[in-house]
Amino acid sequence: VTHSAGNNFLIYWDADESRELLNATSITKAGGGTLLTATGCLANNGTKQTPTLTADLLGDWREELVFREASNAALRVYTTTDVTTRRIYTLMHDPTYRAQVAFEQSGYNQPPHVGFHIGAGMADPPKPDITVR
Amino acid sequence: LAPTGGATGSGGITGSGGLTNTGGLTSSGGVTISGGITGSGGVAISGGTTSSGGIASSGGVTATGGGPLGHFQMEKVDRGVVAVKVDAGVYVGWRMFGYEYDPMASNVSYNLYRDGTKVTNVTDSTSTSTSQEVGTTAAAWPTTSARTTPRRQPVRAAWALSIVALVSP
Repeated sequence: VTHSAGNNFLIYWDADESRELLNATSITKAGGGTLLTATGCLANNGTKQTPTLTADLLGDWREELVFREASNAALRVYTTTDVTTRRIYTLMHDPTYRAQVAFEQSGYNQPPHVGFHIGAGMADPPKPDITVR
Repeated sequence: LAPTGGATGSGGITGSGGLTNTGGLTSSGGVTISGGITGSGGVAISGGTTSSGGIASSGGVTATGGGPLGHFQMEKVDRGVVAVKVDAGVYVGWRMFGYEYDPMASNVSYNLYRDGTKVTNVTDSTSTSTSQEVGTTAAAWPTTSARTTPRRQPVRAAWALSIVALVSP
């Protein structure tokens, strides 16, 4: 029997441009091992096993991971410590991504996607047409 | 402009008296209304647009240290500096703002400071994260874009582990 590597959430976590798999409270690398186990935390929504939030909250373009503790007394924020050589502006300055982070909290909780391609062999990201306030 | 009138005259030349309606076209005198177009003087109203000079005022926006005047309004996030103690030293990561981005990565570099002392200049070869051999998370790790006006940003989160718990009050 061949099982899929996983088909729940995705997250930009390690140093390369491909996303990792996030299911329940574990991050795994496709074809690789477990990169993070959030011991003491719980995912949400029973069978959906979704995180509280994944978003580019801090640091560079990789995404942070937010869980509730099993006791419901606190939220935890996890961040990567893998140094990357890929430079991308904060995903929160990509309008598509920012909207997706908003809908993570307002509808079916699904991973946020960027408005351009990040992945192996990617081209340089487009310059965002933004203003800030 | 009078020649233009003459041109309308050409309208007259059509002489197609019916075309006098052309006269109507002279109404193009109405067109002179296009005088209204001179009204583009009205456009000058868009002089309000020149007001875009006013927008230039949004130059004022740039003055506020913001970014460019692109279409989508995004949040004015800070540098988001994060410092995490790891076995090899301290991992430090920070944001590149969207308006700082330049496909010529070498055009954007960052200075990393620890307790007010410049530790390194981070160029495209090391992205916007770095692992420093020395230091602890107790130190401040501000960064500044070397290209823009130097403005150091305090560390946002310094964690002993790559976990921080936000405990509700």
